[in-house]
Amino acid sequence: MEAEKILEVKGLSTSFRTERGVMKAIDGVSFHIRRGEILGMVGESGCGKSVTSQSILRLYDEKYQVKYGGEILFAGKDLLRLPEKEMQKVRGNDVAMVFQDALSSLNPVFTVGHQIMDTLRIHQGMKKAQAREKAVEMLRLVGIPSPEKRVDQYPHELSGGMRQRVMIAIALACQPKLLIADEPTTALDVTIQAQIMDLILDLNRKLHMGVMLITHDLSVVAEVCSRVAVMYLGQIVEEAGVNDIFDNPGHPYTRGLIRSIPRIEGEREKRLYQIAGTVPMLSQIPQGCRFAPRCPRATEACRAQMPDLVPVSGTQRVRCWHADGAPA
Amino acid sequence: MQANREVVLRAENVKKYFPIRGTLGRVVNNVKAVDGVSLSLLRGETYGLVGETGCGKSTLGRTLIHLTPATAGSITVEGRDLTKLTPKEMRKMRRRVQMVFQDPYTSLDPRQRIGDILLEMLEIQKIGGAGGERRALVMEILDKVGLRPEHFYRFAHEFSGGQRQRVGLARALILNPDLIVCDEPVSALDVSVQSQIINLLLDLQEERGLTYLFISHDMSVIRYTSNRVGVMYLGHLVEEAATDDLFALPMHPYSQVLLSAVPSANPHTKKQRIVLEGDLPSPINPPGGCVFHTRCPYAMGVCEKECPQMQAVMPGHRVACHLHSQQSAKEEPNHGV
Amino acid sequence: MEMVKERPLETLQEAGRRLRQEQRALTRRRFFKNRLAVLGGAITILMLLIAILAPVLSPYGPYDMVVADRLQAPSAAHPFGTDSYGRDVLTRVLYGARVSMSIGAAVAAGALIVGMAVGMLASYYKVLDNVLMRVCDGLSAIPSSLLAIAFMAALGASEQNVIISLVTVSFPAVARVARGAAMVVKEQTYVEAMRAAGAGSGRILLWHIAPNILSPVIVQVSFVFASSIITEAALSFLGVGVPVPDPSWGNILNEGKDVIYSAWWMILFPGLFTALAVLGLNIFGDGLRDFLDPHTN
Repeated sequence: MEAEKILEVKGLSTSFRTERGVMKAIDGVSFHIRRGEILGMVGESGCGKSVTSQSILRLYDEKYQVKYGGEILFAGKDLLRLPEKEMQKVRGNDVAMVFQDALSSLNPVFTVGHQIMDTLRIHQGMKKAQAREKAVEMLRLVGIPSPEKRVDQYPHELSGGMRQRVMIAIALACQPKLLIADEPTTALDVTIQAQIMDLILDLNRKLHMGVMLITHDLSVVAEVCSRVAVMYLGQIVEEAGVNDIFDNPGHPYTRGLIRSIPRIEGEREKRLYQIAGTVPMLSQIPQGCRFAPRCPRATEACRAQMPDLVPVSGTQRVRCWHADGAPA
Repeated sequence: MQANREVVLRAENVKKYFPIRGTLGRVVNNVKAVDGVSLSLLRGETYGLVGETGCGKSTLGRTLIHLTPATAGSITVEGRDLTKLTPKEMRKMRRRVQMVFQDPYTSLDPRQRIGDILLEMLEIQKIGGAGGERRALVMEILDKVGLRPEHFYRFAHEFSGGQRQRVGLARALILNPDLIVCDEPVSALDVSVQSQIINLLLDLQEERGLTYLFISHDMSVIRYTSNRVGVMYLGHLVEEAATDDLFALPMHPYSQVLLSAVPSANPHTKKQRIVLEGDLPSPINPPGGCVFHTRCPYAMGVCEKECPQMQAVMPGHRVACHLHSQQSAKEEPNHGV
Repeated sequence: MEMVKERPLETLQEAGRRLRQEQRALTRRRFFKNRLAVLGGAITILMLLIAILAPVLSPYGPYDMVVADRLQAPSAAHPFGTDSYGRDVLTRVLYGARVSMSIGAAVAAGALIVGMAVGMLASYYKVLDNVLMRVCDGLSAIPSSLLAIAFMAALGASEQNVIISLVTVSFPAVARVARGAAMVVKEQTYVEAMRAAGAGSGRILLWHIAPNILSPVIVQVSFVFASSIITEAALSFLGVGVPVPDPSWGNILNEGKDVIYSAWWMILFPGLFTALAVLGLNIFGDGLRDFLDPHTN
């Protein structure tokens, strides 16, 4: 039996007005996240994975001239049609976010305890003493040693890994239904990365929330995610369970990505596989399938018309004209 | 096999301390970024230097090519000690040793065209005649690193990260050096671009017989690029071995931790991780004895008192750890040569 | 073979030129979107034009005295009236623009050169840093007009000495900005890359650091321009600036103060021009800062 869908994104597109005209950063992105699952959102820079996550919380509204299309259904409401006031209640309360740069996401002039308590008092209306108690509890939950002491420390007194733990504590303080983690370990060393990933996995099991993990690192995806969506140039090109993605990738881009990562174990070829060409700019999106100019299997059909994201097996969906059945 | 290969660079007991000054410029303490590292780089090989943030790998790379002067120790290139060269001699020596930097965004002057950046390299080292000859050399090197001739007139900000890193590589290559220190050259790049740059580095090495010192925090990248690997922790080289040996049989507890933490790109393998306790100690007051003893799962009494020396435990495999040291001999460190 | 090589390069050069033109067009568009900068720039250009074209625009000569027409109120013949010697105030103000703007420009240029040199040397050589920046601190500790008066008293009143003393009081601010920017630039990897190439300090300072700190320095210099116009006016007003009978806005004000109750026009018009020139430069500088600062885009 499958758990309920807590987030369902349907045909989401986000466009920015810039000096060089309107840029459609993501185009027709559809996916869902169920309770208790970790969805990995992978892709290279500029593929729109971060735009997708920030659109869910509508974080661009104030800073940019932005236009959304499609629907983002969360707890029965369409977030794109929510007034800003209502949206503020969703942010940090129902949906929480952890960013890559923990140092600049924390306010340097307040203690970490203060910052956790802030969230609790705003969203849950807690009293000061009660919030402090909860803050200590949260710090303990994310594995910070002697939390009673740490709660009164400032961000600069903590190491990078500890800061990211604090960020996670803040994010989880209000028991969100959905946690969006945007490259949470990219700035950290491998040994610390391993700890933080273990923590996210552990908390996901304990608290049974949905997690959307945005990363460029396929190895991280392989270790923690249950389902994966691969993005390329503002579109999802493949979506499947984690084993399918690695064992039986359907899209040539997914296949290329997986083959081009240096592996820590197993056979080592002399040369790494490389995907030809480079990611085009958003202003120069190719006709037809967006990956066609770099694709080894591209045909006339690919260059002429964009394929849809279609199911090829039970849970696997692929955006490719050649995706019927086994990969070449 | 390695014994008869020519040594391009030999470093002995290199130290790099950054002084911390108190009032009136008095030195009150030192950040011991590199604390007594000895290693040799052999012609045509890639020596991978791996470690976490703050282990001193980048500082060591810069110190080895005298971008920042060593506090102590000797660095020999072509039989000459870099630490004893005059500034003028050193400027000439720069032709032999070059560097590729990590951040492709800040390593190119935003106000210079790519062509001018490369021409200036030749001008500084007085290579080739003015005008036509230098220009031809620049065009040749642009082609070598996979850039097109029209990129000559472009500014850095018009390029993607991967293309900028190609320019950075061209800048190092154009002087035709023996040794290139690559400081995290692919860390800032996307996966698909990363593989392109790694392959380019490997192709150029084969074609020109280059020697690389490849600095990276990424064990998987090191595995693909390097012939030999040195693992650093808190300013010390703790283990050095041929790549396959190190990945198959890491001997230093820290190397084992590092390897076990690397995520595997295979969803079916569930690895047993060794969790490292505590934080990295400060390099201002590193722990006495073995620098790793405060976090080492196998720490013994002797580890607190005595700093283990690098010792060969197998041919070409050196470790600085009391678990593997023979009681009898405290040999001088050899260089795995 | 050389010929074969050359030909594609020529067309490439053309491609490069086209590319550059496109970039410039984009930059231009961005600048003109910045209304304040455009307004300030327009005022400044207007003032400079007035200064250059003063002989053409002026109905009379700057030293022409008609004693019979002393202290006349503005009229068709004398739109800005006349002064106590019967000279046309409009003419005096237009020629005054010449003196005031040229002093301002000369001081700006002087402060730019001295300030850049001091700032860059201080940022690059630790030993010089303390000495140079302490000198700058000392100079900026005393109010600039007081210091300028002291210099003028020591040097004697002349246009050249006004410039020297104003450069002396205003370069520390430029030097400080230049030093701050150079401190950031010299830590950039591309500077390290130049050292790795074997480049000497002179090359690095002149060709790699200087061009990259120019933007904030130019903004600061535009403020120096504005404040020198004010300080020059103040010096001349106090009688230690540009010697009479040469017209400068400060001089005209000085002469006007004696007859302030009877001849308001002698104060109003030079004052208005001074204010307008300073205002124009200041909003131009502000606009320029917004335009050059990547964070505000």
